[in-house]
Amino acid sequence: MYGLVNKAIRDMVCSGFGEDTWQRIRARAEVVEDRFLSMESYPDDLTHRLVLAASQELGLTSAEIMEKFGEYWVRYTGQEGYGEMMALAGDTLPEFLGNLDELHARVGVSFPQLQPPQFDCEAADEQELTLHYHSQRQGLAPMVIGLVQGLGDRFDTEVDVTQTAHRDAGADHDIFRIRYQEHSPGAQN
Amino acid sequence: MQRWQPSAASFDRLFPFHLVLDRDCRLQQLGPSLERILPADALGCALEDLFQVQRPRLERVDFATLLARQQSLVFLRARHSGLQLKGQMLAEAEVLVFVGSPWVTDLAELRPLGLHLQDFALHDPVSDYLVLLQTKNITLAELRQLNDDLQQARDLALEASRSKSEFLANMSHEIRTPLNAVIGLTDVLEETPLDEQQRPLVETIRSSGEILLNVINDILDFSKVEAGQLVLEQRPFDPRVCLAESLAMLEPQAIAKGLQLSGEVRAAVPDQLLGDSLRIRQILLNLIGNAVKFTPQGDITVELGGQASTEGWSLEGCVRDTGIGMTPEQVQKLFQPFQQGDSSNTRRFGGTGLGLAICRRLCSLMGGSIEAESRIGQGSTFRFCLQLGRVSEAMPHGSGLTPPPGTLPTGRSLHILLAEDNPVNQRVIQALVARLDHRLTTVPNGREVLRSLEGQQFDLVLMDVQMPEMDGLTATRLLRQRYGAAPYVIALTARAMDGDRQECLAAGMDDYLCKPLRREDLLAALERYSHRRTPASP
Repeated sequence: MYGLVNKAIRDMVCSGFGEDTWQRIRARAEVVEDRFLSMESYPDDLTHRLVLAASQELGLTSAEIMEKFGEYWVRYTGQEGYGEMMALAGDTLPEFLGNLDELHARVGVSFPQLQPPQFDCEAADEQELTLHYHSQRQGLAPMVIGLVQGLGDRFDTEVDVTQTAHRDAGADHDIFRIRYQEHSPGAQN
Repeated sequence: MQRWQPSAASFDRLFPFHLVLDRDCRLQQLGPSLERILPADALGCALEDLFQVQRPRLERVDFATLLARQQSLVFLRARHSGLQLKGQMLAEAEVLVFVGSPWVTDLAELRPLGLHLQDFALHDPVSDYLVLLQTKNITLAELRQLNDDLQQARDLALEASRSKSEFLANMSHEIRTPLNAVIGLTDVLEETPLDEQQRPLVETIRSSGEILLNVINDILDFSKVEAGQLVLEQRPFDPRVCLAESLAMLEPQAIAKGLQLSGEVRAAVPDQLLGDSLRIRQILLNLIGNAVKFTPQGDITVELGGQASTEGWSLEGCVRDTGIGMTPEQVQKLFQPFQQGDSSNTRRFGGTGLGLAICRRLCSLMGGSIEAESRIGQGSTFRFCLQLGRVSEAMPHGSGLTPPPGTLPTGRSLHILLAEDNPVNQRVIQALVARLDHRLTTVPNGREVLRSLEGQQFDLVLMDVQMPEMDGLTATRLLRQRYGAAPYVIALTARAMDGDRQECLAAGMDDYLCKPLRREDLLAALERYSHRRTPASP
């Protein structure tokens, strides 16, 4: 996993729960690094240990942590130098989700070891989208729910996300139904 | 077989920034992305009205001229927005086709131009290049931040190290002053009639005091080296004397354990070398001392050899013992500070675990290195190498404070002036001097030294450095102004940091003794004094 993800976890914990909590999580996860470089590749196991330790330390399930993290990820990447890329991917929730796969493909050029996920977004009707999510990694579906909610905040759009197919339960891939309602069309946070 | 001809829709998707010019160089067709961001009435306008042709440089922008530059790289700059297009011209029947894409170097430039990433054809590497550049810029910013943080951490660590050195210097003074009394007066006490019960008790007090002094010296040395404050001297010395002195100091301990201790300096080693003999002796004492400590039976051999080098002489030393030995893991940690071969040794054999760390740093400061080989139960061998200078013919041998071997004290009674404000220290020195049959006059400060010299003659002055009213450095400077080279002045100080010695010598003092003052140190200083004065004495 690229350092950007670990950096975001650190930032989320520090801004939400304080530096001391982060240090406890790091110690519990037996992670030596306190600083991460975005472009540096770190073992997936390190990220999993951090998530597990955070869930133990904060009294949340791993799924809840990942959901919160997905929500935070949208804000974090927007602030950490990737805002321009995000802005160029679209001005509305459906437009952005439509370009999400292309965005990951482009980011994959810069992060050659990324193994980026694949997204496919279809409009079910004017207020509903179906998002197909394929990933080589297990257990990240809750992050997608948080991610869509974070995008809802970004585009001032009310969203309701439901996972309709679970890879964990034997489905080919994860599928999400997204009901959305723009508060003021086209507006950004 | 018929070649594939792209449809207009496919051409638009492949080249969203293309433009087609008619024979009058007017815009006849625009790619969809370009059409969106150019003025609404762009179609039909002359190329020159909307774009400046930056490259190639053309005297006239017309169909024939552009046609002739089909092999050139073309840069067009939109007059209304600053958008720069990079591409090439192709002649196609009666038209010219420009195929290219926006040339930007930062993602942030796209939005002000009204562009999105989706405006680029998927095959166009420019957009990926922009994403790549963006991530590289982020990495650079992160590394810059990391660098700043490391710089800040380094500054804090240096500051902490400076404070530590200062603290150690102060503590050194504070600990050495009472220790001076403990060791000095114990020496005196040992010379008085003691019964069988008292003698071992007094010996224990003295040896404990000396162990404590060694510990303080080790910590001070280590802290000086770590703080980069250790300054090496460059003085001529005799390596044979250096080794002989080291062996002589540890011989009693070796004999007490029934060990055979021997040393040899190879014939090729010059009689005089240039370096810091005190620090070289410190390395030898440390290695031989360890060998004695960790060898229950057998022998210890020390060899000095080496060969000529560009600096002068590469001195190689080897200390070999038949002691308890170490495992490879223990050897690996041996030269790290606060480590001993086996941590249980700290309890069994004592010591700070700093000795070998200091040796390694001293060797490194002298341009050399140190290494150890060992096997459990078969003993250890320590080898070190130092880059030393050679003494030129013109350089006087044995200059500096260390006298050449064989110099004897004059044996005559001296009149010594002691400047010392601390009554306990006064008593210690009075007792030491009295046993040497010298006369001693004691004054409490530098002002009284000058006053005493007005009326009486003294062979030498033992001058404390820190005293009330007038310190020893000031008194010595004034004394030199008034009386020149006489009398001989020996600094007495509990300040043991580097720089103190230089400060004393710079003030005009002839020698330097550290508290706690031991009888043998005082004797050695008096011997140095007698060596200096003998040729001139009547």
